[in-house]
Amino acid sequence: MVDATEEFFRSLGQHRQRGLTALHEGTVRFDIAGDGSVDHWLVSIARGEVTAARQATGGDAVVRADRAVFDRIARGEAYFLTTVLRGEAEVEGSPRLFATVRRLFPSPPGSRPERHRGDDDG
Amino acid sequence: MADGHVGIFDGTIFLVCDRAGDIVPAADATHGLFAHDTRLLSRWQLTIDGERLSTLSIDDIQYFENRFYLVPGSQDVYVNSTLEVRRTHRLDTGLQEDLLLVNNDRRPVDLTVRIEVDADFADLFAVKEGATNREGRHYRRVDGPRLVLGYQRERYRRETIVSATAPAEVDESGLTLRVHIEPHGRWQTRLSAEPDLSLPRGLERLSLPGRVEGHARNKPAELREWLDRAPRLETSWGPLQNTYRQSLIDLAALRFSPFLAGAGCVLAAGLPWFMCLFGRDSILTSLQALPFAPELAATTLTVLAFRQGSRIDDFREEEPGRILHEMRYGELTVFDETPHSPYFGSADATPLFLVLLDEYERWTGDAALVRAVEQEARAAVDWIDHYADRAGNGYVSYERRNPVNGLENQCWKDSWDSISHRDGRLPGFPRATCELQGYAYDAKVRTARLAREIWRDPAYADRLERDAADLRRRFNHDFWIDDGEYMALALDGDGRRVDALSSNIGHLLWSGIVEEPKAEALVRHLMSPAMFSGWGVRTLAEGEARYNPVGYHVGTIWPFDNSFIAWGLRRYGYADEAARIAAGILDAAAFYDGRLPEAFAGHARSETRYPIRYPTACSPQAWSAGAPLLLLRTMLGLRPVGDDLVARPALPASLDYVALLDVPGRWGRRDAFGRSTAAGGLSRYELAPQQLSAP
Repeated sequence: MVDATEEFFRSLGQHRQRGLTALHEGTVRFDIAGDGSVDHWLVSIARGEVTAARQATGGDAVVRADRAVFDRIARGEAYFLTTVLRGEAEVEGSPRLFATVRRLFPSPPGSRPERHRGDDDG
Repeated sequence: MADGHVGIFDGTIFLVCDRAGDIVPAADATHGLFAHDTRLLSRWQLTIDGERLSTLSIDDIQYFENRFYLVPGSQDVYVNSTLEVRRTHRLDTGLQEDLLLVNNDRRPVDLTVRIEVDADFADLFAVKEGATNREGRHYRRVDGPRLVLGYQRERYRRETIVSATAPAEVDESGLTLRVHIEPHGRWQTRLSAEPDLSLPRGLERLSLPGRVEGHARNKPAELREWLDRAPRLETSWGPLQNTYRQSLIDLAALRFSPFLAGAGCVLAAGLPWFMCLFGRDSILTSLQALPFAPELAATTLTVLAFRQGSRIDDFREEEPGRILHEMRYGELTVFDETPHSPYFGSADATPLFLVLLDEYERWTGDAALVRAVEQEARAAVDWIDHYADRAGNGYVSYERRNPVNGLENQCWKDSWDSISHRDGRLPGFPRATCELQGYAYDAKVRTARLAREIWRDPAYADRLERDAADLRRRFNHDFWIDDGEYMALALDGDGRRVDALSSNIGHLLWSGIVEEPKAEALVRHLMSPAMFSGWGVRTLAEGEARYNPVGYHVGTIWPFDNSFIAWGLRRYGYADEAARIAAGILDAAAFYDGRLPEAFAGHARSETRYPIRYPTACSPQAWSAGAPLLLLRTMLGLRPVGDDLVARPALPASLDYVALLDVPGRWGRRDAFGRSTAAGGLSRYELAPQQLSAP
């Protein structure tokens, strides 16, 4: 099975994210815990470009989650905001960035891209 | 609020109790202390020596503070008590109750004061449905001098901590205080119920839209400052003064500061069911309030831009560029059982976002904000062109993505039966209601101005104007019902006209999408006995199959709806008709002590002489509080033109004089005056006292 978390961060900078405007600038560090160790990524958003690097320090905001929880977010199966509100992931730092982080994650599996009349579902 | 209920509120926290100040659990009651869409107290009952108390009077001091004057004993016996009880409720982060006992006897007394408490932590949605969702575990714990009531579901935890400043015996269902009072002495304590939401670090501000600074706030001073900042109203008609003041106070009370707003505030939509952020309501109320409190629009635009949709999510009905509909924080939302995190199922919030952006800049000259949200505004236009065109016919339409708990009707009339044919049939989906096309037209015309003047993108401006002109041309053809001479309520999924006659046609005048020759016919309908009750324009015309004078969107009169209709009438030059609507709604407001409810019944004024209550209307409701403000603007004909404020007053004949002093805007502060053109004024009319217009 593909490691969803690794795949998520690897692909972050590869296609342009929609809607990351001037309102959404800053850095967010993700501390993802699993198998007795913690992996760190620092995601930077500037001028609509997103880059991710393995880095254990810094970040205007920090997101902490277990690997199993984050895998689900990274696949779009779990929704970032409600996962945090349930206490399954922790956040710290600039609250503005959480509205931004939300935008990085994929749509839930099965959500239909268009809803034109006559289109097939999916 | 239902009869016998007493409420205080502040932003998104509110308390509903009985006339003695008690929260009494009952299946049919919506009593409780609520915050963040969660009931933090479901019982709060005071007894003295085992007896409940009787109410002498209630002093609603402020929207966040109530005082109850009580005596022990039941109400059905003659009371000659020597013990006075005063309970003062005050909302802060939780509930503070100052309890004062006065012994008017010549002998000392020994009393047992007991407060029974419980908290079910029910989601507001569950309370509204009369159901409770109980996946988690309730617990109670005596923690020294405090009682902790809690609810835990997985890692989600909500707690309410109850305590008193005086020594108390604490058990798992309440606090007992032993009181000794000397003759003519007094005793007091402060009881408090504070939420403890045990959130992870950094999340307090993220998840809980609080009001700034909590305990440090001086609410009375803040309210005074808010009232002082607003334009001053002078008028010859007393009730209008009262309505104006009440509107400003209600808007102050509904303000809250979501975490993205910094120090700014947005408006919750209404008490008790809508104490949260709604896209549509916050936009329309900010529009109504622009000449009075323009900062609300700035915060609303910023917060909604931040939370603009960016991905596809069928459950939440999120789409790129879409502006949110509703944001909740209750358990059902947190566990993804309801989609309000946020929910995006609204077809009008996105075009209205653009309308507000332009109108805001016209009033304030704040081009910086227009530049800051340029990408969001363009994304909103893209949403209108792409995702909103569900039927692929060039009109904004809706059909829910979430078939389980999404809204069927994603326009302001969002109840299930609001969109119908004259004969009562419900049309198929997607539905393109007429006012959505008006909003889309206006959004494009206005965004074109912003593109040309502020973003310096004339090509984009040209494109938007071409699109708008094309939409207007098609709309006036496709929606026009020839034999009835009005605009269809909607087009159904096959492009067929949904032919009910509705108040939606009034919004079309506001948006400017109606071709001039057709406007006269629309105005005739709006002011006809089938639509205009004497108080205002009904949501659905009398005579339509689904018409019901107490049907939520099918016959009641909505003050906010009427305020936009009046604005539209003035736009097309129908100043007298606009003044008639203003007079009717402002007369109705006087019957509600200046606080217009969400809606009232559609009965003819000549028949009832009183604007009959709609049973479950929310009150205060933000856009109802905003209605008198927009009506003032409309009556005075206020319009920003370049850097100037222009006034072209057209008052109801019986209203002699209205002046708004110190109207803020890009001009600094300006005064606007209006005098009735009818000679003589009030004294010449044989009207019932305190009414502007005749039944």
